[in-house]
Amino acid sequence: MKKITVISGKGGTGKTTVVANLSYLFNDLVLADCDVDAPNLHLLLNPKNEESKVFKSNKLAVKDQSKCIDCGICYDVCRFNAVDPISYDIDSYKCEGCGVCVAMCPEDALSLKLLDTGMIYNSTTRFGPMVHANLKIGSDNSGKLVSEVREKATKKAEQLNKEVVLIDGSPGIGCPVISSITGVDLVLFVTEPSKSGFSDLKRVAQVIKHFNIPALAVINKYDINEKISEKIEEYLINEEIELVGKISFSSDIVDYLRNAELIVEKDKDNKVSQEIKSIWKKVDKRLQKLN
Amino acid sequence: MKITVLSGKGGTGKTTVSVNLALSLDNVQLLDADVEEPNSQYFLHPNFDKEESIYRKIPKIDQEKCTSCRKCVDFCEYNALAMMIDEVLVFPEICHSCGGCKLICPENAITETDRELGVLKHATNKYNVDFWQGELNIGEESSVPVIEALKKKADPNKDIIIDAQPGTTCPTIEAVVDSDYGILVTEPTPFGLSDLKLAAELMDELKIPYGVIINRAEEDSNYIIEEFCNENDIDILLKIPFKRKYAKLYSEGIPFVLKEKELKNDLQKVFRQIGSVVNEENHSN
Amino acid sequence: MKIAVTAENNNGYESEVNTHFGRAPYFAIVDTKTDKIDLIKNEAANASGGAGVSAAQLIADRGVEVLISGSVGPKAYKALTSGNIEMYIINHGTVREAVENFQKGNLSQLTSPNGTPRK
Repeated sequence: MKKITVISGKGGTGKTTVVANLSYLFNDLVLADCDVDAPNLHLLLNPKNEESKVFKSNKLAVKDQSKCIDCGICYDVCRFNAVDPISYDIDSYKCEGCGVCVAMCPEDALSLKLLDTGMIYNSTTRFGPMVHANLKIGSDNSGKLVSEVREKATKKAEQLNKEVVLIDGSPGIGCPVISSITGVDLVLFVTEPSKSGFSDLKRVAQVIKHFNIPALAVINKYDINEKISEKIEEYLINEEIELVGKISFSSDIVDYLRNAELIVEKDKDNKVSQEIKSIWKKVDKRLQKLN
Repeated sequence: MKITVLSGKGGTGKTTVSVNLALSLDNVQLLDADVEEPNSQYFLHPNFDKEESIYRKIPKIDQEKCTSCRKCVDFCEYNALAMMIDEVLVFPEICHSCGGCKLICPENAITETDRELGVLKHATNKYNVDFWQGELNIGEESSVPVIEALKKKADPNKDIIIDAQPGTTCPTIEAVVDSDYGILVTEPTPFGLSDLKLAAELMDELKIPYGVIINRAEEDSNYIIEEFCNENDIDILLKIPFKRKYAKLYSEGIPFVLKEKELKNDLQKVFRQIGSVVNEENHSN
Repeated sequence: MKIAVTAENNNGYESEVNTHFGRAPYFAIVDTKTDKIDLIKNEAANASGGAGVSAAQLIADRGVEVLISGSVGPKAYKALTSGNIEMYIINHGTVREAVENFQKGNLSQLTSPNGTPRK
């Protein structure tokens, strides 16, 4: 079984669209949506939900008002400005669950409680099982929920003897993206030829680099700016990241997306479909070669 | 007035809106609070002239004073301390800088040292926009202190536009929490709608007034967003049309308003509309 | 000598090995003098951060001198090295096989972190 994570650094480069179209081409696989901040893959694949579970991992300070004597020590010791200077109420968005106020409260009025972080779903799509999740608004995305999604998908693949786990990775360069590539066999970057897209590619590639995972790349909408596309190609060669294909800028791909349809399925002869298919072949070949 | 531009997911045009709005106004300051990927700079051609480091505190153990009582290790919620053969090890990457171990140590064996978390950069540019950006160091996890420090650069004599990190987690909240108004940027696709709902839910919870800008708008698909906004009584401030020309300008880092006067007028109108909403809000409070 | 093996389940010597040190569900701790085996639950597997460090602490506190696992991240590696715990690599099989292979000298020693950190 091989695991591949698709990431982009910057949002809006077409990462999820590429994942959805690749899943049609792989046809028999396990999917994981690790973009738990703004999960979108389910919008394209319309999965049937089989099981949902509350996920808890964030701790938060909770006050027992009946024990509080308004001494204000919690306010003094909190470094996250999570204690209101007048009411001494805890701001749940700012609290990091460090427990300093709990330890320092002379009246035992504070305690740390585990809170709901989000929901995690086991579903099925027409291409195979899919694990996805969503984070509760204002929750800290520590990467734990991302790890959980990735691991559940891996277990599913082991149980069902599936060859491929395709992971829609997390955005950014922080902990979630690292969690989404942990233990995977291959990373696929989806980038776009804009100054910001290129800059974000470089930042996230730097993060991925020291994990020693082989990486491939796709330039989406490459013909929007062929000059920057060329620069990206040069960069990829220097970084030993194999360019597995370029996708043309096309409103067709967006039109299919709007109807929650996959261009590779509905319009096989479309130029974009051909491009994605060729990318899939190269990715698949690379996966076969890994061992 | 302080306006934050945000979106449920990245790549919808948040930076496009922030930069173009800033360039359409006078006496304005732009703060790029998307500290994991500060991208406004690519449109402003900034000359960075000032840089400040943002530090956080990391414990340092005085092994002479330490009696290996383990209280600090047991206390740390983040497992950033370990006791190996009577010696306390510190793992700075996972430390959240809460200062608890220092407070808890009965022997006063813990002091703190600074570790750079990120930087703030100020830039001048030919557009006369007072510009600051925050940048999180690679490998660091906590954006919030960088955003907090960045917001302290806000000039009270100017209108402030903040480009927030996409999403609905702590860094986005930190950017928007004390703003007068939020501009939610979205696009007319199922993805755009799904992410807009998350951002709107966040703004409702924070009780900050907000409106929507539809980027990459297209006549025959705007209904995806419009239906939701109508049902929930959310103002649609502007529609920026889907044009290949815009995609090209974006890729080259050229702000659209430099090439299209009409968009500049539209954004000025949006700004006035926001002004009256904020005014009304202030009077009713 | 005490040897810790990261385990997938709680099934004595027949437990399957798990290859991720910090997030392994169980640690099988084998005392080679008595052949006694103890399976302890890895509480750190559910920690929201620093699982590797916490797991290293857990086995160090049990007096373990050798760890057999698949991958160890940089922070756990630092902790284990400081605790004078040697690390050896295994990718599949049972706890029994892992211990036997170690005793026959068939396992290679880990001299640098080979796992990706999970916060």
